[in-house]
Amino acid sequence: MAEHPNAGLIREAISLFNRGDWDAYREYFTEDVVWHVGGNHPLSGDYRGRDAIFEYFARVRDLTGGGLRTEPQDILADDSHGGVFTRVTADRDDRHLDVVLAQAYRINPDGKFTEYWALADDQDAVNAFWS
Amino acid sequence: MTEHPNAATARRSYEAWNIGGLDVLREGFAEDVVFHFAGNNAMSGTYRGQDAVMDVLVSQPGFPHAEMETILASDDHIIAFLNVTAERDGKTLDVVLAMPMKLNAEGKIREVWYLANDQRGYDEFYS
Repeated sequence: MAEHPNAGLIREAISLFNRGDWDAYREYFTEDVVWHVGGNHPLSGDYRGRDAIFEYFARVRDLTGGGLRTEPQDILADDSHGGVFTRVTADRDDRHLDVVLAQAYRINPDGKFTEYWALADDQDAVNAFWS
Repeated sequence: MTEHPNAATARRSYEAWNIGGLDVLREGFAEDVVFHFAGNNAMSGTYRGQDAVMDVLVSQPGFPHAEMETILASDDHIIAFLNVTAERDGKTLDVVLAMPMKLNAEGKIREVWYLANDQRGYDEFYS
């Protein structure tokens, strides 16, 4: 079965994230995008608007020395939604993170992300990593 | 594009849920199914095994109704987007849940995450 165009879109966005190409990555979001970061840690919560989300990405980058990587295992999509199961690895001081994150996206007709949710298979490990 | 067989599995489970068909719902789960509820409410946490999962699902007050927005499916995974509504003690719940799932080799649901777009509203309703 051919990949849905929105699956390709998500794949490109993840690749830009991994390369740290923030200007190009920014183009994949609407101005008023909402980002839900699950869990109980200092970065958890709802981020509203592209600026708030990119401040969050900057914090993630600073805390992990730019070394957080996400490696998609499966990408699902239809005309207005996407989902990704992705392995996320990062190091922070002497802490190591290695989890699978389940991510859900809403995508508008222009091919931009309007809403996002994420939660990990081992949420306790994520909470400990960021706390 | 024809629907993936795993999407049909998920659809059957939700239809069963909405009419109280708990046996059908249980059959869709692997023995060692795991459910992750996000947030800070009475249900939040991880539940392991068919019995624990069925117990927490039926314990949800207000018997929430799930309206399917869309189902994405591949050979190993499903993501359902659902509009969930419920009422309880004068409180109303109306949220969109994104529900990613992993399937086992037999096509049974092995792991599920509950993610609400309005987690605070969800927490208040279930606190």
